[in-house]
Amino acid sequence: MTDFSSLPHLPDSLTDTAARSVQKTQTAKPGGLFSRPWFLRLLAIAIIIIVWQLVALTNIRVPNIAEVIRFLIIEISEGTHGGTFKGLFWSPIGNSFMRYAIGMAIGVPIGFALGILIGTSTYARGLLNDTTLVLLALPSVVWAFLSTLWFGLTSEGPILAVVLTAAPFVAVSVSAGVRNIDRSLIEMCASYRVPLLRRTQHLILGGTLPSAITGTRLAFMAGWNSLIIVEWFGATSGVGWRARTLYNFQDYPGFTTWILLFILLIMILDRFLLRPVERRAFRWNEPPMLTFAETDDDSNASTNNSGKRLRKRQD
Amino acid sequence: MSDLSIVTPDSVAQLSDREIRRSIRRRWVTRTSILLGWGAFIGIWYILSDIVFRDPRLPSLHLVLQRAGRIIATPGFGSDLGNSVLRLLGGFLLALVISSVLGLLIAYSDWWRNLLQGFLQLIVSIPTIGYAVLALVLFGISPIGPVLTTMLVSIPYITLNVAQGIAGVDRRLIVMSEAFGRTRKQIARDVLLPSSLLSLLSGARLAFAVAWRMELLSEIFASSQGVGFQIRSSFERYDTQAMLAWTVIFVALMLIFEHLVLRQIDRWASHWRSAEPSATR
Repeated sequence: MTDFSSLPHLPDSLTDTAARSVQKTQTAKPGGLFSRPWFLRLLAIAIIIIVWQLVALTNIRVPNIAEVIRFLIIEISEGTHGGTFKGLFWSPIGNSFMRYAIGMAIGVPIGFALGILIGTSTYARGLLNDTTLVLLALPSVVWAFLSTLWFGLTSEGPILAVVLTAAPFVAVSVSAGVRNIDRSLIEMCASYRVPLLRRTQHLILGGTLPSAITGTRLAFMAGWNSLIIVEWFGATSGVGWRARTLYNFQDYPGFTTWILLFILLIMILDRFLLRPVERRAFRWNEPPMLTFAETDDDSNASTNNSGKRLRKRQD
Repeated sequence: MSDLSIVTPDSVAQLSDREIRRSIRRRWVTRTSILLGWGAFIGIWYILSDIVFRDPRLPSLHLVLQRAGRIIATPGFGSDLGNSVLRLLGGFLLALVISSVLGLLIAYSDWWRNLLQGFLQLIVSIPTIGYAVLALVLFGISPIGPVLTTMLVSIPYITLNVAQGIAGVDRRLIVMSEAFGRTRKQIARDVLLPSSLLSLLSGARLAFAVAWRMELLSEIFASSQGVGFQIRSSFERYDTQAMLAWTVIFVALMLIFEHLVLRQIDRWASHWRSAEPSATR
């Protein structure tokens, strides 16, 4: 790529700045303290907390950070919030994660199988594609309501909602992955008579795995969403139920604590389990469009090949 | 895709009869399997509704559609739908304005990019229900909640696309324009704007799919009118028919908008790039 910004005759115009900013991101070196990524991340967190505190000062329904921490400590130690109102922490989280794990363990393989079917066979595509799209289009809250109506206040409702929300996400991205496999590679396999098993393992699985994992990540998000919604409206245990109870008691510190908890739980899961797996799967391939990878060249990643290679080396 | 080869009279003539017959048969098999798929979908619904669950838990398909027809005919329908659509559009337009600014900042300044990336990442990684209930705490039952949550979830998608569009503008075009003595204003209007508008639109299409779900969810939690509220109140009355009918109406409308209207706008806006697949690379 030519270094346009070094050409002397160009005026220092808007467009020149654009060229240079693109140029700069390829060879970005951390400057002073104020431009270090970790500093900016801390700054972002600080801004969020400060805004939160300001809102808490003006809005009586919003608790400040001290109240939330105090509530959280009582919840974790299972002490008393005053009177007979006892703290609960591990049992709602345990219950929710149990349902979540079972639901995902059923939903992801179903979605994967459906996706492979839709991607490889035209008949299966005709049969299943529209149905999958309809299921995907339905907002998870509808699944939540339906499974509450079907199973009442049991654990099956939340599990079913997780399965029904997660499976179409996986199916759609897996089938897209199968169809995106380079056709010439398939033809090459055919002409070199690569055995079916090896072809499946190296070509189909290898080619679909990255999009399958992206789909699974989306499915984990959506599944968690609908789990909380079902628990909110129709369960007698779990994270969503706990938040709902506290909301009904008008206990805003407690309610906010649990909202933050279920946001934090999914973020921890995403960061420490799903994202590393995804990054591993994408090692050899283009990074997905909207992962918001925290390395510094996100906006250029898919438009700029040299930037991508640079990041690979940094890894 | 490679199976869509160019059809010219010559190439058709070269196809043998057998090949033509085979391709016709394949098309019919595909069509039949699509029909069969829909048949199976409807059939399973009827089995579930008439044998497994019975009416109050899952009503038959035709009852839901009849109910939808009756809901559309009621005078209150327009105001509920109008409320939802207005909030959705309000949040979405706010998001468009804010993300255009943020996208510019990200494209032109490393500092802003590093700062904003953290925020955008946070916004995406919070599950939508988190926003819905936070809106409930912050604003109680009010229209502000749905508008703001819709805006918030749309921002990352549009912003990132705008930034990508600006950063990915073909620099050869810019250098050429400067070499031919175009002014800054002309370059901004005729080179930067068209190519970033395109990515703005594709970002908007991505964001819309998330936005309407968010809007529905926050109405379910924190609203006293609109489609989401209707779905919730039918659920609380155990009126599954009405719940499904409202869902069908709203989802159908949103999908039509997403896939017909937005895609058409997208196509219209990209007509100038015709057949140059990766001009920005």
